[in-house]
Amino acid sequence: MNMRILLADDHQMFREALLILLERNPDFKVVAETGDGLEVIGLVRETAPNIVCMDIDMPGLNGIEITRQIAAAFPLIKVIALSTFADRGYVTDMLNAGAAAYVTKAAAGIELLRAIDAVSRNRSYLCPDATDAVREAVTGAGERKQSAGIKLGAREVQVLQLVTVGFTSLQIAEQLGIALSTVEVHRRNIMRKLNVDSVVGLTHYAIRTGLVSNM
Amino acid sequence: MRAKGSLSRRSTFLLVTLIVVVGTVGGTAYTLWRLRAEAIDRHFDVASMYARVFEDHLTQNLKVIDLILVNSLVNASGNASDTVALSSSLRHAPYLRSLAVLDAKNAIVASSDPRNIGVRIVRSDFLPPTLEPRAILRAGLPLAGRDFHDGRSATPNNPAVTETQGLIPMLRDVALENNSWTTLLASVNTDYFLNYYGRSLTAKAGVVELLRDDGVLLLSTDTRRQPGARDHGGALANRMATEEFGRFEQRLEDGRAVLTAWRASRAFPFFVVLHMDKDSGLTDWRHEALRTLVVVLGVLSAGVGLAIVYFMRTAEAARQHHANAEQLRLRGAALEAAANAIIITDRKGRIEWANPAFCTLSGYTMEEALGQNPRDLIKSGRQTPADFKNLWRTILGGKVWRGEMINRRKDNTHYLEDQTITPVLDREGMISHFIAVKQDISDRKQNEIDLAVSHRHLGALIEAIPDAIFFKDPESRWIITNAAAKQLFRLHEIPWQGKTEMELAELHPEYQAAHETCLIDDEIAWKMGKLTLFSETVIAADGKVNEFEVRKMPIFDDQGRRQALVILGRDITENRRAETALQQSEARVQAILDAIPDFLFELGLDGRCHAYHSASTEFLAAPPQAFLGKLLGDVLPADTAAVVMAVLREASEGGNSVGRQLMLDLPQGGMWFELSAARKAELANEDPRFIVLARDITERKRNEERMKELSRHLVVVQESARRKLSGELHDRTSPNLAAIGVNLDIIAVTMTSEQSPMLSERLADIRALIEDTAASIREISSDLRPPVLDHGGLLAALDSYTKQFQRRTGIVVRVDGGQSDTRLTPELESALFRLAQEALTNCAKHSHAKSINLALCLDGASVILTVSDNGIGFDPELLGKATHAGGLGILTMREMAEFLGGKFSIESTPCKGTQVRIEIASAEGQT
Repeated sequence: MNMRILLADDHQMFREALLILLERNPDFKVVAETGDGLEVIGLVRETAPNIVCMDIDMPGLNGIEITRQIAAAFPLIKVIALSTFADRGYVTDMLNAGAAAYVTKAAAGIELLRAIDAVSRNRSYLCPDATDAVREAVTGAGERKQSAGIKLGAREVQVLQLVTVGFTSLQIAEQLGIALSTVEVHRRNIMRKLNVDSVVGLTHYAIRTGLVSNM
Repeated sequence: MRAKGSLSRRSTFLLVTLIVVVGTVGGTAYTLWRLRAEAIDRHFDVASMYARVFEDHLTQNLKVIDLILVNSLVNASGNASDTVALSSSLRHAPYLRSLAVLDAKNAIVASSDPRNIGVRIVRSDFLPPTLEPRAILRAGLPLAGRDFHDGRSATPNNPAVTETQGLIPMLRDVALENNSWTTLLASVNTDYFLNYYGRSLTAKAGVVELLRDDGVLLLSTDTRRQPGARDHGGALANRMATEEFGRFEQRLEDGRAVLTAWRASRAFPFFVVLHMDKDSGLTDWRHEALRTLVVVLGVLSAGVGLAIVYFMRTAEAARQHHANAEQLRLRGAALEAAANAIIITDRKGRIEWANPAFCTLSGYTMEEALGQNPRDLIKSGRQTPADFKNLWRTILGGKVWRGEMINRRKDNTHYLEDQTITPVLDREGMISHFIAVKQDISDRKQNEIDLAVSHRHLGALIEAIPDAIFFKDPESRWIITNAAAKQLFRLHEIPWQGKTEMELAELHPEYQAAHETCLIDDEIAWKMGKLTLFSETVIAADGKVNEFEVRKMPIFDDQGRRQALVILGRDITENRRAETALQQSEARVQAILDAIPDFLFELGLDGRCHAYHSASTEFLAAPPQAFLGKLLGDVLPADTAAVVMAVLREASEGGNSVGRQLMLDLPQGGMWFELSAARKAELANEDPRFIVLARDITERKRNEERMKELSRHLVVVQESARRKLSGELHDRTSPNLAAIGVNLDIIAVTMTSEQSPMLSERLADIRALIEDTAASIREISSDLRPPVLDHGGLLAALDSYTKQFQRRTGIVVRVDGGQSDTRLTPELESALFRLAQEALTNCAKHSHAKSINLALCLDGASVILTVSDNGIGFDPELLGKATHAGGLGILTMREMAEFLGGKFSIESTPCKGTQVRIEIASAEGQT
């Protein structure tokens, strides 16, 4: 399976990083890249990509409009939206415009690969942040739901395990041989991802997911 | 009534007396009249009797004369020898003077007195008149003279002279055997009859007269009567013509009243008439009547006199009785009306009489009281038996008892009475009754006690007054002084009472000046006649000069005479000192006030200016004098005055008012004043007064304006900086981090864990760091200026922000933006977002709210943002106070809203929550 990918992002370094990431996979071929929204349609017509990785904020024409045009002109081309933000407005606008997947830039690496994998199999994909936004849009605001598809990193799982068995941040830092501030960073990331705001919430999650045994 | 009775009695008496007198007099008069009538009757009877006797006598004599005449004819023969025969016939006939025989020619042819022969006789003079001879004796007209020869005929026209001898010729025709008639004439001796009558008539003053039946007087015992005259007035003649005898009373020509009785001769034409003098006939009666009258009138006057005397005495007695009865009645009424209760008891103490006052006092009715013993009625039991014993001993001893006694009313209440019991003695000197006079003196007693108490109080009061008090008599003698006065003049050292000023000055020479001044002032006060104030100085023994404010009050009696002088001297030395201190203090206050640059007003609640203070006058709308006594509304512009009135109302309700500001448009430019007001404490109740302080805050106000301008500028700058920073973060930092992240992922994927486990762990940590950093940048960026605002509009931005807010704070936020997707100007959206953000931040910081409602309403030309929470709220009054923790946030919001030309309002109820409302015109809205 050879995937032709078009990268549209005004941030060149990011684009290049993505390029490197994608090129590592022999199945993926980045056929074109651009930072100008006005060029995107022309490039799509020229290069006929399977997948367009589309940044929402682009100079010239913004991502949503471009997506709409692509969806109208080339219904077979999958658009994966890339955005710094996972605000509901962006997500719904993008999905409405015809995007098949939505990935936040912060989670771009792994999540983008998952998204490409998903869209290549004609499925849509939303990164966890975007999922939350969509769920809120569907079920209504204010509900605090832990997303099923949360992916914690290995380091995060380590930290979570230590937190739930009662280690303080200082003890965790010593245990893992990292700076205390890094432990704090992990904790914040975990809590943000799990959408919890206390140690108790973390513990619940750990028990439910089997990270720690329910003693 | 009584006077009338007495009057009627007197009238009755007078009437009866009059009747008796009149009756008696009348009876007497009647009796006398009857007696007089009887006397007259009797005289008539006597006269009639005489008349009958004389008539009898006359008739006898005439019969005899008739016989003599007839017989003489037998003896005579009608020649000269007849003289002897005739004379012999006269021998036993003294009542005849002569006899004669007439011839046919009625001339005397023979007579016993030869001198008569030849005398012619007028036959017509004889009665009864007949033409032919008849054998009857006829009477002729009387003749004055001894016999026919010297006789002169007495006719009514030519009566005989009185005191002359007279005769009555009598003619008798005698029938002869040869049927011839011879006529015989007799001269009847009147003296014979007159003598006879004079002898026979015993009655005095009686007159006997002989009349022919034609009324010619033949003879009369009254020598003044002239024979031949007609009868008096003819009255008798008339009667004689109809009756043979009768009686009547007449008045003769000489004025004498006479009783006349007459009788006609049975056989001859003569009447015998008796005239009885009425007066002499009534003499006896008169004597008798006089005597009777004297006796009757004497007896009558004596009787009337006695009756009058008796009546007077009776009337006097009645009057006396009446007066006594009136007096008794008055006394009775007085006793009835007496305010004092009065009872009269018999010797045993049973009530025989009681007056209404007793009933009022005791509560018993008259019926209940009468016959009862006071002991049973009103004895209270509060008196000891000894009291009663003493009482009875006194009154049974005939003495008056007086005392106070507690008695009982019918309703069992007690009262104190003053009682006087007086025994009443009868004629024998034995006690018959007791009279008890009672008076309820409960009140009086109480009043006496009260009076004594108030007197004591007054005394104590006078003593206790720190001012010196003197009472003086009109001669300036000191009568009463109080402790302060005694101390002032050291009166305890001298016998001061009753001494005059000059005597006191002698006793205490050191006070001489004071006494002299006092004396002069006293006189002035007397002259003034009313309360007069003086200032007097007394130098005390220790040489201290005390100033006194002296009040002198003269008291006069009803006649305006001087009665007493009350003097009150107040030591005002201390007051003077205090006054000086007060003046100094006031001067100090004035100095302080002068140093205050603010304006001070004393205002009434109605806004009237009562006083002011200002260091300068240049900043006032009008000169300060213009405010005095005026209403603010009359001096200040209406809006300014309204602000001041609001301040006054606030101060009136809360005691004070701070911080209200007003602007005055003055020639030198707008001036701002801050007003503070406080209610004056001393006038809290009545007309409240307020001290209003107006502070010139123009400078501060300008600074504030400048600050506001500055902060507005700051908002703009800040917004611009935010936007710029946000753009930077969004456009550069975030993508950079994303790129780093992707690169790290690439490295992580490339590097197997076997190659360097440590390194891969480190990479994971770096990845985590980048994630955290990206997240924080995202938050910062959102805070600064969410990109979604530009992209998705205000509602989307708010939605996004509230999500994040909810995640961060745990406060549930509901966003209600309606269905509108109207876009506003970027500035407006940005500002509204900022305002919402600020409001939410405030809520999170202060409200402790569990949930927040955020509503965005696009209503035509304006957009309304409402943020309401259910937190603890706060007191909106504290808004704007610098101390309030949330103040700056709210201030910023207000300024932003006002900067955008909108309105900002905040409402909060403690414990209920707060609502912030922002309304901004959105005329430039676009879709």
